[in-house]
Amino acid sequence: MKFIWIDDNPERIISSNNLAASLEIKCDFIDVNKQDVGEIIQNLLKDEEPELIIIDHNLIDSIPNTNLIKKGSSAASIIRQQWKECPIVCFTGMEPSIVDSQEKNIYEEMYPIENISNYYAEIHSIATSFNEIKRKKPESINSLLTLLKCPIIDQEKVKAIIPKNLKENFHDGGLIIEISNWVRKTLMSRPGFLYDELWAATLLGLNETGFEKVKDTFERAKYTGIFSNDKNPRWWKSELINILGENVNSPGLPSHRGRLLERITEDDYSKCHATQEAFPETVAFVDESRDSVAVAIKLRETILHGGYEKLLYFDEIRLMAPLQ
Amino acid sequence: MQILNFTVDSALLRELGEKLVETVHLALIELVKNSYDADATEVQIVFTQNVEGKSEIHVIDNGKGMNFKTLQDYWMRIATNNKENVSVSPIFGRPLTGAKGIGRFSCRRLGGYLKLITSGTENNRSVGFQNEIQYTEVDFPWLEFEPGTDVTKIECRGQTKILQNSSTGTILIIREIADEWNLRGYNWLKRQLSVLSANTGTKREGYVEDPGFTVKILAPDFEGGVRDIREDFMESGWGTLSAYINDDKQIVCDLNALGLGKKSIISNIKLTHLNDVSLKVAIFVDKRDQMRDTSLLSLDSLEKILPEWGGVQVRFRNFRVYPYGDDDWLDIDKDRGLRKASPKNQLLAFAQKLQGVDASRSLLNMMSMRSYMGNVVIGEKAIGFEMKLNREGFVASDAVDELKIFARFAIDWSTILRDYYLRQQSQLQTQKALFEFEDVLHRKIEPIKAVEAAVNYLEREVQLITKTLPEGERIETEKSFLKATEVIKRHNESNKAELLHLRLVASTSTLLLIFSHEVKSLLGLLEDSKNSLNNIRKDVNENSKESLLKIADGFENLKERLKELLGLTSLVGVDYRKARAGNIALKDRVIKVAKVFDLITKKYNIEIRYNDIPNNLVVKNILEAELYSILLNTVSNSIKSVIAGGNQRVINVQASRESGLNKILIMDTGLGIDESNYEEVFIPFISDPTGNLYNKLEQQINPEDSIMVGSGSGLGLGIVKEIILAHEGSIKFINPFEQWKAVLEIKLA
Repeated sequence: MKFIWIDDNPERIISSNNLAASLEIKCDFIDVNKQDVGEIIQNLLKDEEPELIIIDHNLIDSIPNTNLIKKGSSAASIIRQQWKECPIVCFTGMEPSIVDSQEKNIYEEMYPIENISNYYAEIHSIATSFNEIKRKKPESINSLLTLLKCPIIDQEKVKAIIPKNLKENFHDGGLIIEISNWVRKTLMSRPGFLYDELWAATLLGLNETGFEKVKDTFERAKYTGIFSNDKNPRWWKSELINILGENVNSPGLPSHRGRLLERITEDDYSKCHATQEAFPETVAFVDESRDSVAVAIKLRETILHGGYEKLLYFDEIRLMAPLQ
Repeated sequence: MQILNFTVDSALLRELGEKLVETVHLALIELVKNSYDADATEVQIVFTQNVEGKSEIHVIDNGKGMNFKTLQDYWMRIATNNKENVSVSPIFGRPLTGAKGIGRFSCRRLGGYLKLITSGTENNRSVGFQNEIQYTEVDFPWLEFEPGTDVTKIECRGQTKILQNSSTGTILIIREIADEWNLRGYNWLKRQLSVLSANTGTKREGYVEDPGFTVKILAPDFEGGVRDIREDFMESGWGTLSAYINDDKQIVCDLNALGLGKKSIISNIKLTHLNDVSLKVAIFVDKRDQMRDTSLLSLDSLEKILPEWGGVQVRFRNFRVYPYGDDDWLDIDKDRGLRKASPKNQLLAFAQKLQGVDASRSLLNMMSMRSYMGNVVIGEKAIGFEMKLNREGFVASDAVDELKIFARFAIDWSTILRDYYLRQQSQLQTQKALFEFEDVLHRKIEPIKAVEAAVNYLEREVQLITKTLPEGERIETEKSFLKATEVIKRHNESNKAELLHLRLVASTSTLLLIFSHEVKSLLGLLEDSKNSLNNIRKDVNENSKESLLKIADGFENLKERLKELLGLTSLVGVDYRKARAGNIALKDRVIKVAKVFDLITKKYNIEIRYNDIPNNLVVKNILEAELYSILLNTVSNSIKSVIAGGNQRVINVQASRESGLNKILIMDTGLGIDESNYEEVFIPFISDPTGNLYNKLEQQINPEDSIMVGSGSGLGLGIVKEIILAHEGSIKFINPFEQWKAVLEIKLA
């Protein structure tokens, strides 16, 4: 696999080499410091398309006044015109929240430069997933479901929530980008079909340490479709419940039954963040701030989060209710 | 047949003088205009007394003067004019300003006697020092031109001679002065003269380069001393900006401006290619209330001056360099067109510190290039400046680039200060209106509730008025009124929110904000080092693997700690238009604040407790950065106090809900505060009323650690109080209980 890293900071060649060594891929570093970015891109586009491009969001140290490309997003737009299916991710030292959404949307993802290694797995997953989609280009909803490795029980519901513009444009040049956006930013981000570790643990009545103990049991429920990555895994909710049924032969809610799993002790039980009561039913953000953490919590101790719209078949995003 | 001739009665001279030249001030202006039109570069007006104590006016210029023939044929022949067929002056090509043929009547209007001394060349088209000039001196005893006498019969005695090596020019000595001079007229005169003296030099095609025109007045009865009208004029606008390069190559700027007084700044940037460079620019605003001397400046004169003479010119070794000043060489108008709003780097930080200024928009008040009038002077010692062959501008060089940076830095800085001035003015106006409103209501109103109070007052008044209306009309009127007041209230709320954030930004150290991008890049390098070590680990033996892992973990820990710190500062660096007040969980923030002080609390064995804060206690409708500001300031005060106090060092943050409010107690085992100082500690700049805290702290703390808990500027608690009051909460010290020495109580929604 070949990546290309475009940056106006020559020192980032070390980052590029580290990424290549860690992911065992080839990564060509293109230094645009005091260079004309436009010209470099023109030359780059004559070569073979790489599996992924990494670009710095600020290219202010390229040649001043000779070209209009001062941002990675502008360069990415030009690249996209020719390489329509090439994933482009961005690293930046800027606070991502201050970057305009229009610029942000050009990239598959925007990552903070100071935490590159945390995102190696995700970057690798984006590159391999794009490759996989290119190889097995979906021509119908069913072939997309195959790429998602969607359990049969969920298929009808997933079909219902696939966005219209995706369903109707299987032959569109930008199909892969559309799929990538929807899978990563909706299906995998919003709890509903796929649960992250906290949601999965809470479903089973456990805290994250408890869930760690029984993870192997639920290996089959793990999402392994396109864009999955081991660093930030997801589990099919339906499969978690299925497997729980296979392992705990007792009636009741999943959160009650989960505690009957082998090796689980009282310390592994989840507790409501607000009241310390047993059996928190949901997960909520503690507040409305940007970096707010999510916690297991009793449903009655929460309110709807105003920042998220409701989506069919997905769980509601909730906020911890303030103490009255 | 008999031939009849007209004769002219001398009374005509006086009649014409009074009709054509209405006032003495206008008369004097006309004489100065004549000097201007005669291509003088300087005119002096002297109000003086002769040996007998009688008043005299002298008008002295260095223009082209008149030779004897011109004087005889034109000046002394009434109703002729040597300007008739020309519209520009002969030497500099100045557009003529004087009214035709008015000069002699002006002299008559000013006094009863005139001595005219003039030196001109034979061709009457040269100025300055000449090998040979015609010197003419004539006395005009106007009082002898009495009614009944024939004007042509009165003798005006004079003499003429040829002088070698002398200069051209004209001197008018006017005696028997008309008794009409007053201060108002004098000020009018100055305003008119300022228009002429605004000519700071230019070049007109086909003519000799015009060096400019200076008017000096010596008028002991009015202002004393010699007044250089241009100098005075430069000081009469909103502000006067000067700048130079110091020995360390930094830009030193000074601004003397209305409402601000004198301000200075030294740049962080160094302009290594510049030396012996200075700038002096007058800043004019076309608003009467933004002029420092309205006796000299008027809207009318500004309108005439700025379009022609406004701009920052460049003088290189005493000569003006074109086209600088005629063009937008500093990109002022270009940036205005692009709506460039935010300064950068040091100036951004500077703007952020100014109360009421929205730093990101602080350049929006920049005025057009013509509103800045003055010069950048490049002196003899300056290097790196070479004129182009066509003498139009400099050949490109680092020094020329830096010259532009130099001038723009000064102008941008003054623009930020003008923005600050405008905010201050606006606040003063608001305060004044509030006082007047308090008089109407006969009670005090808290500034934050002024709009509410005004709207409520209007509602009551409108209800009284609408009672007299028919039912249908009353309901309709009240409905419209309610809608209008709703708009005002909502607008007021949004303004309050914006103000809150600005207050916060002003209170926060800006240094890390500016460099956060750079700091993040450094964190990236730490990350790289860690990742490199992890990659090397694959190729080494087990023992080395372990060691490398430890080093990599150390890097990771250090990076995460720095990131946490940076995270707090970047909160306030976020564009405030995107920041939104919301509900913020308290405990998580207290934990983060405790983490920030981790180094110092470990070093000085300080325990910060927060277990008594309920997880779901949430502060409502507040910016995250505001809550951090409250916690960082209060907890750092407690840290200082417990270090200074010695012994047991415990800080406890407790919180609970009481009567619909969050009650937060910050308690410590430090020095404690005397009850008499409970109020005083919130007053800005009184951080330590007794001097006790910082004396003891100095004894207990390593100097290098003091920076971690703040330097004691005395602003912290004042800012905290402002934030809390803006949220309609309260903050006060209460009498300590149990083992605590100080207890700070905060109530917030």
